Amino acid sequence: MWESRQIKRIKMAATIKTTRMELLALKKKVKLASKGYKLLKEKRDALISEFFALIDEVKRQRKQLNEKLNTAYNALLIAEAVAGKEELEIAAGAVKKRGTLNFGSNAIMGVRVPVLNYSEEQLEELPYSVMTPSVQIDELAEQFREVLKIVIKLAEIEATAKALGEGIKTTKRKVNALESVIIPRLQSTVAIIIMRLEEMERENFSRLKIIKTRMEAG
Amino acid sequence: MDIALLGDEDAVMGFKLAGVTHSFIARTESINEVAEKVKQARVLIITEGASEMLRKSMITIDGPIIIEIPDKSSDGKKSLRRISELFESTVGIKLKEDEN
Repeated sequence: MWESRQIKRIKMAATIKTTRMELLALKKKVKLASKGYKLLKEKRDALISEFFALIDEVKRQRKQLNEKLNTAYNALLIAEAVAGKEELEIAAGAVKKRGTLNFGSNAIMGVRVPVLNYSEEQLEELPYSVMTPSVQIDELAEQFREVLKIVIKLAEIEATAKALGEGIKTTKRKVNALESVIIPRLQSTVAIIIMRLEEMERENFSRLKIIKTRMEAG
Repeated sequence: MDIALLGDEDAVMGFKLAGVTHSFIARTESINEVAEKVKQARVLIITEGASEMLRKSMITIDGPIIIEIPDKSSDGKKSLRRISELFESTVGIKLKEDEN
């Protein structure tokens, strides 16, 4: 393992151009990479704190949804008993689509997240036929409309949380790659070049020395 | 078709009253056709039972934003657990179980 790594390094060193120009370029690259590393780390931390807040919000909304949905289901049971199932089905079949859903998107730290806007149209008359004027059904419909609003809100928040989660994962990967692969590799290349340049200097020095002694002797 | 719903009878009834006209009852024998119908929706509301049914028939719906809601008989813990899973996989820390 160690040996093969050593061999790899030697091979790598053989392909590196050991010039001062290259050294300068590499040093610039290291600087850029560490700057990017710092920025990405900040981005990751910001995304995570945003994500934390969202998870709390999801939990809160979920709790509310559970309560509201439970009472709505119970109301449905009562309405079924009072008005009868057929009556309910007729009423449900007669309800027209109300409200429109507007789609948008937002960006949190460069991560695209959906925005849902649900607006309900206020109807003058009852949405179902006048033949079923049961108060129970009215209340029931109202309760489910409430539930629907929460569900849409929750859909937006959960989708946002999912998108942020993906964003966090990719940012983390980038941060880790920079930290443990790219920057160390660049730094080791810089070290190799510095070593070679020094070695070349020493060679030059000793060569000059030899020439000098020969000239003095000759 | 903005919002669609896939669920049991009660959920379908309730949400139809709320104005979700594209509500379909999920049954094991007709789950395929129903799943095909709701694919064009932009937001899909799905009950836990229906979601389980989809998983069993190995159907994935990936067009719309999917939101799971509790069934009549469930307490909603399942949907909450999904959020905890998402949290764990992104942050790497386990979310503490809720008090109640």
